[in-house]
Amino acid sequence: MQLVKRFNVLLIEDSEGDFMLVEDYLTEIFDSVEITHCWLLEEALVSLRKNEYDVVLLDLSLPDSNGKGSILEILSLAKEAPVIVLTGRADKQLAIDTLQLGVEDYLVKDEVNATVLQKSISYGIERNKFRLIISNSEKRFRSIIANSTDGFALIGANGNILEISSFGKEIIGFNLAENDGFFRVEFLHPDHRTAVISTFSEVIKKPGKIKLLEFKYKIRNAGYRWLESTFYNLLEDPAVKAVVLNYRDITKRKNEEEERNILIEELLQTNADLKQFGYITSHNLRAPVTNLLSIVDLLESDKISDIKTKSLVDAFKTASFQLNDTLNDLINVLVIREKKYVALHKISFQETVEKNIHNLRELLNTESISISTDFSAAPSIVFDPSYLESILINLFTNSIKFASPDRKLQISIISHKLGEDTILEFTDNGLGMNMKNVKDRIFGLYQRFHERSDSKGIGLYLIQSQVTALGGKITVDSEVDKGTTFSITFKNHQI
Amino acid sequence: MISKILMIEDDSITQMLNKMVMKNTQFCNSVDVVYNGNLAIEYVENFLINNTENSFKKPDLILLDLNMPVMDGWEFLEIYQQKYALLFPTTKILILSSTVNPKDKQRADQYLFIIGFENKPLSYNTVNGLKELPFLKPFFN
Repeated sequence: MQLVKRFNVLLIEDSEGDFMLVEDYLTEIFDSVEITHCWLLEEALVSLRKNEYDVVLLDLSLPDSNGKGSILEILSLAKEAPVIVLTGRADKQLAIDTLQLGVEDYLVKDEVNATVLQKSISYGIERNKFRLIISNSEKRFRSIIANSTDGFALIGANGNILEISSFGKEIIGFNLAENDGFFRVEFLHPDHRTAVISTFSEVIKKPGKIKLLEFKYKIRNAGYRWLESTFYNLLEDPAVKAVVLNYRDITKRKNEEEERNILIEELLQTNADLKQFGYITSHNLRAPVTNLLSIVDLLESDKISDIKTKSLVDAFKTASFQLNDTLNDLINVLVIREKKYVALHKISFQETVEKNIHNLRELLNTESISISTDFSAAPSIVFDPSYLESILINLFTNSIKFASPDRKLQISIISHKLGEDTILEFTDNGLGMNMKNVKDRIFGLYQRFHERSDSKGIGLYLIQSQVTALGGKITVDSEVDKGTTFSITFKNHQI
Repeated sequence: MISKILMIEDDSITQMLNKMVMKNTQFCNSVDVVYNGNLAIEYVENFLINNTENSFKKPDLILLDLNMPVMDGWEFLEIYQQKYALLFPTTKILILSSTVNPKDKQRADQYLFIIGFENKPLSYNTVNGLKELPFLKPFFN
């Protein structure tokens, strides 16, 4: 094999004869070779500092050599060039020893010929390339580990630290004297010792096993900190032979989590208390109200002869009914919030509306109101029947309450499909509202937009609660003195 | 008509209204009233002591309010279930409360001897409905 490239050789040799011999071999091997000959180590060091060589051939028995020290000096200056030592039989053991220092190969002078030298040089160069690749890759890897804010540690099966990254040291406040080269069980928080130990022993039982664990660890001068670490068993990986720990300080995250959990717990408690409060007050109000209703029911006002007293008793009846209605609205709001009491049925719009009109016949005087419906595009939905009834009652009563005194009230109710959803549109030609004023508040509790004494500000809130409890939504569009359209989207439920 | 009803109710107006409605609807012959669960337990104990003399009739139906002082309806139900229910196999209980918590109804459903859950006070409508219940219907034939 002939090497084509111009080849730079540094040959350090104090014997004229040996030099000429090697020079011959080299010119035989290489088409184009430049040989720098140094007689002494001193000169060689100067040359190495100035120039770069492809290979360094070094005689071991130089007069100014001091053995291993000199070799190390040459090796460090040779940088990427392989160093091959030439030796006599007498120095063979020394030559073998130099391999451990990083010398590429040794050749016994008596045995050298062109072939042997060529082989040694080309192997040396190739080996050196690989070594460089590996060492660069290791450097890169180390720099990743060294610069990562995660801690890395290699620990043996008995917990002794084989290697630890600098951030790794920082995170656990590593102090060699104090840590004694071990991860110390007594630095683990007492509550977490068992978990960490059992995880570790579980991991070391199975090669390749990886586990993630959170635990508290006592850091020098910083008390207990929350750490999160993976335990990766690479004990049987010949290149690692350790359990790899990759850990980070998660104290901040843990504290925030804890604060959040406390907050959630408090909120849940407050919410439950409020709900309970709602039930109790409603219950306590309801008891006397239902008694009132019963009294009103049992009172036979026809038997009262005094007209004034009779009208007072009638007013008392009306007030009792109003009180009961308001209370029932409030209780509905409470109960709707607990979605689990919803009952889903397939319901027909036409039937529900007819039932409604029948129930509201006193209010919906046909002479002053015209109602038109069209449910042909979407005749039914799956919904809670009592909710739909209550929604419609509220919409009807709203339309009647806020009808324009100047024209006959017209109500139109239509339904249609929008994808999977069903839309119900309820339109009237009443007083309407200025959307700018009401936009965000219209479905809020106790929001009233008309100065009417019988407006409680609860109807639309109730409708919205009932619609959204089942995943739907309600929107409104209105124009002053033109009318209002409520548009309710019902989700497609299955039964 | 039901021969004997025990009403456990602390509110005197409710007591009066219940009695009035039951009388007007010919729902029952006689009503014993106690003011809370504790007194109801006393009533039941007393009944057991006097039972040998057969001096008074045991109730066919107990009307039970839930929210009462000293011992509420739930506590009464627990004790009744443990100690007395087996001794009064023909006596049933009707919850008569103004609770608005849907959970109360679910909780009451767990007792086998409870035949209904109604709003207090009794109304004509409620009583007419009760008369149709399988357990009560035989009293009105």
